[in-house]
Amino acid sequence: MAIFLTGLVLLIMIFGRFGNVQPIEGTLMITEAVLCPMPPTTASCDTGTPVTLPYNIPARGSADFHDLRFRITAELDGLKRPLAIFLPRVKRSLEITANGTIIQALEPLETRQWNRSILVDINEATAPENTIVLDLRVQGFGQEGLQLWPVFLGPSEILTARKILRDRVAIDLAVFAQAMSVLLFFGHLIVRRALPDEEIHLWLAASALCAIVFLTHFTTPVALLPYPLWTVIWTTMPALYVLFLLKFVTRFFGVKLPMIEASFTLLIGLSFLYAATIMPEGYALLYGAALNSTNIFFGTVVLTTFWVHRRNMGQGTFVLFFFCFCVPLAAGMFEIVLTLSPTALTPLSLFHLAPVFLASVAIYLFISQLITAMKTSKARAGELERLAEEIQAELALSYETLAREREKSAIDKERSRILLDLHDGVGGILANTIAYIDNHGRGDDVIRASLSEALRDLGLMLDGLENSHSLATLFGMIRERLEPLMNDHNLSFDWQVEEEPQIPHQGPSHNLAVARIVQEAITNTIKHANASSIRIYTQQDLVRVSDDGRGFDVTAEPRQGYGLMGMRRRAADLGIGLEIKSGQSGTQISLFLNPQTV
Amino acid sequence: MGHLTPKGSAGAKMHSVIILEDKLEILSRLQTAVNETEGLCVVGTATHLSDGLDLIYDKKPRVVLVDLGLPDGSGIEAIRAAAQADWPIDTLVISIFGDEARVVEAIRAGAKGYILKGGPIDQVGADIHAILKGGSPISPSIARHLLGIVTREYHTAEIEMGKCPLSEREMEILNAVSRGYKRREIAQKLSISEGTVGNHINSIYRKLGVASNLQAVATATRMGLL
Repeated sequence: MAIFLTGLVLLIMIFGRFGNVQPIEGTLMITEAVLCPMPPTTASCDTGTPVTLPYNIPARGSADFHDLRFRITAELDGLKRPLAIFLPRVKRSLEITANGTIIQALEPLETRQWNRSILVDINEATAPENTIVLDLRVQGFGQEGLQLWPVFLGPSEILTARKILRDRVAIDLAVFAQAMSVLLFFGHLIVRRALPDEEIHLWLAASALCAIVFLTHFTTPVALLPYPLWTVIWTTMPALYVLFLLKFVTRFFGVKLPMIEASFTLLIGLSFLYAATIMPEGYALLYGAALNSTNIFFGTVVLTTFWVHRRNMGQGTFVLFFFCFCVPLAAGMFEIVLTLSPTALTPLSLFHLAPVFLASVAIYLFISQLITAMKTSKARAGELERLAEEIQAELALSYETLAREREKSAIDKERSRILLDLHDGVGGILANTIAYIDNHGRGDDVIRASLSEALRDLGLMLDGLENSHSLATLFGMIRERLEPLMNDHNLSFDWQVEEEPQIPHQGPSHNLAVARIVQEAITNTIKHANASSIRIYTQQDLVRVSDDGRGFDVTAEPRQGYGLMGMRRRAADLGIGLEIKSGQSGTQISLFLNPQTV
Repeated sequence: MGHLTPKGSAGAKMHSVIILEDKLEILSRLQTAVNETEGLCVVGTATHLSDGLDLIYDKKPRVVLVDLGLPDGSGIEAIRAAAQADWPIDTLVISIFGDEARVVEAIRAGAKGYILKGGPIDQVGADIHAILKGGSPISPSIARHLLGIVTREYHTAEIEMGKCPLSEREMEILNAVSRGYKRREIAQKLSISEGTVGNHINSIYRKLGVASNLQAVATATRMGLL
């Protein structure tokens, strides 16, 4: 798949010959010239050889120097003036003589910007006639060959626009790519410094550095080092570039390809050493082409790794990455073909586009990581906020609990004080008065009984307050208080308090109300039933007081003292059911605590 | 405050009793009831704490009956003083209702039990004898609060691991008492003697009272939980 896609792009580039010369409307495209013999004289060109442009001497390993002269004779009929001459690309230095006047001087071969097109204005004085004779002297290195592309003659206006467009694509785009590479180089270094774990940024920075170096060849006319070292260095860079990208990709997907990486590193290292030291002069460019042809293999490894791990990334990301890696690979291949081809394919080199695409990948990576980081951070912030809210809520709850505890504590304290007052005050006085009656035999039985009842009731109240959580214990305390009275009446308890009764709303007053009903039932039995035993039975939802006494007529008008009305009222207030059954075998009073079972 | 001559048969072992009670009629009733009990004899009475403390050191009695609400201080002080004494002495709280909070506090301070003055006082003498023999009284309310102490201070897991100071049987008895069952009924239910139930109750008092868990009880009291 990777090979197919690369091949496709490569074919498109070759057959489409992107950037190839095409006739320009309103101008004259000259494709025929005469190759004049050397040394050049005005007359010698009459015996020259007619040639078709582009004229091409392919790049070969040699230290030769080419110096050729072409003559072009053109009719300027119908061309709008002022005129200009435009050459999309010249390999490598050019002198133009128009009608015997030099209008463009030769440039030194080493400092000539190889990919810059040439546009020269032709003065009216230089070409006053309809016919113009142009002598084009072209110089070039044997190792990179020599090319003369079709020449355009036409209105300066149209051709200037063409020159700007062509130089934009050929040079300005390379400057843009180099600037991007510089930014990415520092960008990746900064990220790597901030995140030492992210090794991929190290390799992306290294690849950006390679791009900066080889793009210098596309952007500056001056060689940074003497020939052939500079050529060897910049031509090595694309291979290194691929090596670093391979390292990036393997680390990005967590793939281990140590053998491939090591052999590639070794290949580049040895090739470079050879080229920089013992390689014969004039082979530098060929060396580069040969070395970079190995990129077909290693670049394919990169693409294959992407393809294999395409499911590890989003589909959009995969398509972008894959495309952005395919195009540079194709561009690289095309550049090699361009260098080695015996015929001139196109005057436009496109290899400098490779870093643009790869830089896009890096920028995409930056942006997607930024987005992910922002999303994560946002999610974390949300999480934190939620956590903070939870903690706040918890805190509020514990404050509330604390406040409740404080309140409860204060209530408890106050209750204790009141209990103590009742206990030592009223209780003490009542007990003391009863003792007085007993000691001195004064007062009558009614008074004593009333005082005793008041004391018992006070005891019940205190018990109710002290035992607000357990009715069973409260019943136990009633038993404790009433048992002496029961003994006086030859009554005994049949105690069946196994389960803790649960009333709908527990609390001191509710419990006390239930206790009063039970106490009332017991005292009624003591006073009126003539029974021998009182059975107290509890379940979770039931309290039952029953005796084996003589019973009474439940339907009869309630007699004073029975307190049945009081019991009914209390039960109704509590929302519990009260059932009184009475017959010859005794009385049974049931409290149904669960309102549903009433 | 007056000193009375011990009454009863000269041959029987007499236990000297001091009563600290500010309600005169109750004091008088108690004094009569105690003196009428064989083997007991009141050797001194006081209506104020300060007099009572002097009396304790002066008479070195076997038994002290103390009302907690004395005009010049709490009877707890007298219980503490008696706990420090170097002769055999038992203190009993005189309580109207046997209300658990103060009784537990008194037991914490060293009281052996309580007697009720709200009920028929005639029984007091018998109650004292019972307590001296080792049968500390316990009300459902007190049992409930002792259970509360246990469950508050020891988590369920600890109780299951056997870290609870009370034995399973003691917990069972406390539970039954808290639901109003009497010693006799508990003894029947557990097929043990009434005396054994009494011993268990004494053991419970000892474990949750002064000896082992004083700190827990003190804390609980301070927090207003008792």
